Amino acid sequence: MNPKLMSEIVASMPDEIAKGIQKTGLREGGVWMTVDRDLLPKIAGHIHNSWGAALVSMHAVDNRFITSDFKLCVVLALKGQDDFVTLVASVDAKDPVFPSLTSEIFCANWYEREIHDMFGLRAKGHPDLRPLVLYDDWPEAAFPLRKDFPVDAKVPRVPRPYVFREVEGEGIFVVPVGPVHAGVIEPGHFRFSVAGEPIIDLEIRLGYAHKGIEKLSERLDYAKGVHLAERISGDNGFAHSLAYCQAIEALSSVSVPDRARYLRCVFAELERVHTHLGDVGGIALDTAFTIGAQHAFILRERMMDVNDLLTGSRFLRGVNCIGGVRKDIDEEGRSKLIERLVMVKLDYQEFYDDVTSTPSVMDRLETTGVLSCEAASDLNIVGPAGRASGVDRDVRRDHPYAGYRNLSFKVPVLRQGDVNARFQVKSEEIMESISIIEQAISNIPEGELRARVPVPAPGKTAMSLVESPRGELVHWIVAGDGSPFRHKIRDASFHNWRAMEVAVLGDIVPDFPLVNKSFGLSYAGNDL
Amino acid sequence: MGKGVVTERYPNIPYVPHDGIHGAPSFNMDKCRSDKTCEEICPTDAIHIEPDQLCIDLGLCIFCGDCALACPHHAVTMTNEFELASKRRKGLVRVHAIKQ
Amino acid sequence: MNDLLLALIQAALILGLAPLVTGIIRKVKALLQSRRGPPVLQPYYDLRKLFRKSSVISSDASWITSVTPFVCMIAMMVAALLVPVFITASFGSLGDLIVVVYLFATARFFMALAALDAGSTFGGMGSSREMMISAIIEPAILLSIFSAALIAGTTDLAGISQVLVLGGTDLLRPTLFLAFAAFFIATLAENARIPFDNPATHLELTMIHEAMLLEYSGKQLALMEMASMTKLMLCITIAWSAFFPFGMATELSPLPVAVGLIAFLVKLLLFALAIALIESSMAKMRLFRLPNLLTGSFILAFLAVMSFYIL
Repeated sequence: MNPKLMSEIVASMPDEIAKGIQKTGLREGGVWMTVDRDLLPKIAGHIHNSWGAALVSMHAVDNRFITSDFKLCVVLALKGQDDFVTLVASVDAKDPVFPSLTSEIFCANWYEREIHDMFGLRAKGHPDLRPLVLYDDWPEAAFPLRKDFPVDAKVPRVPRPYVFREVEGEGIFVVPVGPVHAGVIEPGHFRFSVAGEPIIDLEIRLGYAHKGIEKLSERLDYAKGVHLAERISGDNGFAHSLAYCQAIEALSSVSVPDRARYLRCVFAELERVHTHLGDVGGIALDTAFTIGAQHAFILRERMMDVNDLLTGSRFLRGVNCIGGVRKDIDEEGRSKLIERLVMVKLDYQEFYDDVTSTPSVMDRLETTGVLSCEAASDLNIVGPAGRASGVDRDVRRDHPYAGYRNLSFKVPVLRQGDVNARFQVKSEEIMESISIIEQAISNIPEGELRARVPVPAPGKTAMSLVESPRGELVHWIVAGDGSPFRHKIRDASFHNWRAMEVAVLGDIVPDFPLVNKSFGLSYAGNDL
Repeated sequence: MGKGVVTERYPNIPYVPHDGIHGAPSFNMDKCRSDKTCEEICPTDAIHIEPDQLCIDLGLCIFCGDCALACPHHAVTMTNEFELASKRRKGLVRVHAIKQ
Repeated sequence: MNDLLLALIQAALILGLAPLVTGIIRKVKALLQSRRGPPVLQPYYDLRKLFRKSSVISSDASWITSVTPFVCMIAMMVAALLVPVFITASFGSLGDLIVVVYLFATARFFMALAALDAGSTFGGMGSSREMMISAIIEPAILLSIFSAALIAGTTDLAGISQVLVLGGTDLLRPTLFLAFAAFFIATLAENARIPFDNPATHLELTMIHEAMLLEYSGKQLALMEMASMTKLMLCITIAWSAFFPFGMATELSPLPVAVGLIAFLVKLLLFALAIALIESSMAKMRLFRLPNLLTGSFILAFLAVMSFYIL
């Protein structure tokens, strides 16, 4: 990042805001600004609104045993540039409140609720401070991510009511769905307020799959942490472990060998292909077009089989390691991979034509679950769901990592925002991913598979963004003594679940599962 | 349509996994020197080394293959054995006697 | 006496073959999806499994929940007595085709009430959707039956099939084809098939028929499932007997009866195949587009009646 940009950002702020900036500096990740706690919302809001920066993460770090305070971090990604702005504010341990950013940056809503749950820092002026993941019988003053909360603490069960939004009116019914569903799927609670069939309001309550991963990560060696990262959200395991490994590699300032970077691209795109195939099959299945759905699932199985063949794991587990990859693709593997990709490409075209030429299916997909472009950009929706509603962001292109700098690919962006648009975006991405894999595998340079990475020194911070099949995910790590001091994970689903509440309004209840499937979100990735 | 049935006839026809899949780890006790490398590296504490035996709990094992990579004597290999179900929890624990 | 005996034999045949038809439809759908699918006799195994299980009933439910499985099953069994299968005789003195239609309606009425009984939201939604569909499909069914009755001069199903079989190809009029088409769509609607409802779905928010069964378990679920399968079988049998009964025996002697049985089995298979093909080739329609399709069925039935007078 050029220093000029940093001074431009500071200069563009009005004086009453700019006086809150205490310190600025440039690091590899971009601009770091230490700011005054009370002016943090205005500064962050200014950068978000005037510079079109997307909110990447907002989290707290418990620094009480080092600097007697909590640190509040807000990370923003500047539009159109491979640069980030990180704002750090200090929150005194004796006065654990901070002014809420939600009025300036709408997307900060759930982040602040999570900070309150995990650290006990209250966001003053937040419209809705109900607990996000710890509720029902979690006691009020127990904050798991604080350093003085032991991992194996036994917490007493204290019943707490959780109040849902109420919609009143004649003929309005409340339909609570979940967390136990009629099918075998992940737990999540959806509270509809309906007037007959049309949905008037939807409130989503998640957190049932909360496993305390961030806390667990603080006591695992870096090498073991790769395995933990793979299991945050099972089908995006490679993307999560890639982000984790890249963050550790950045902490030690080690660059990964070229061959490993290309292989990482190949495997990441393989993961994208099979996840998207599952998603489009699921969309067809939820409209009861089972023949089409089975076709897509058969293709997904073929792709997972080739994953198994190349790496020994259908979900590409055990492939990433700190410093590179553990598995190589030899000549035989390469030819089998190319053969399989050609078959999938042709077969997928057949599936796509099948679906788009069946009027009953297209009738269900079009104009259902519309997410307007405005809502998508306000809520910072990421991934294919965002790209189907006009949000032109793709981490592979905007903040290139691994081998993506040397590969060319298109990023499909549509504006209709309905289920059909998301289906189209995912279909095009499947084709693009196949082309990326073919490019990478034909131009792969010879070399080592992994570099030796020394254990990072405590105190340094690094962040890594990866475009998982669901969208942009972030791992932000502060190095501790042999294990992370603070490991912030933000899956793409954390942003995108909010899109569901907006997209279903006006649709009828039977269309909800279709909209849900078209977003293809992860419950476990959201809850951590 | 018209693709024919793709369902495999497992278990009537056995499924042959690809080479190199991460199945159950096997321990060659002739090469083992009980230096506890595998026990320390295992992310889920699935391996326990006692004075006279080595126990691996397949119920805790996540088949990551770290033990096979880490063992300095190449005593651990990841086989492609995947049919590991047992009717009792005890049945998932495998015990290997340590040769002195 | 003869009639009663024949009716009992035919009813036993209907009840006995009903799970098989469901099994065949599932098998064909699976093969079209490139899957091997469950064995054709799987519905029998499922029923046997369910009959052995105890059931759990919500403490908020009333007597309606306990009574409904029996009402549904008995309604289907009585209807089975009134429908001729391979010979043009049934226990007609008990009731005619209109009684059959209203036996179905009684079963549906109790199912809808039972769904509301436990106070669960999915049951309520299922009931309201079912009532919306049945409100439009009932007149369509009645009209299509009336068109066959007009040709035969009686509403007794045995009588209709007798007249049509004896009349032979002379009585093959457009009326029958139009009414059959209307009745085919009605069959799909009554029995919760695609495009109206997906019988294999796990999505509780989209269910119509399945939602009304969500509260049942064990033996009562077995009865409800059996009643649904029997209803499908009855609809298929009525479709053939009322509109194209050719091949049915008119007298009780070995050769015609044998021919009648074989003809029935072939027609059963054809109908099941048609249902499976239609289910596989399209998606479930949007809920509020269903009345359009149902009205189409009504119009076909109406045209059938009109064409009797005009043509």
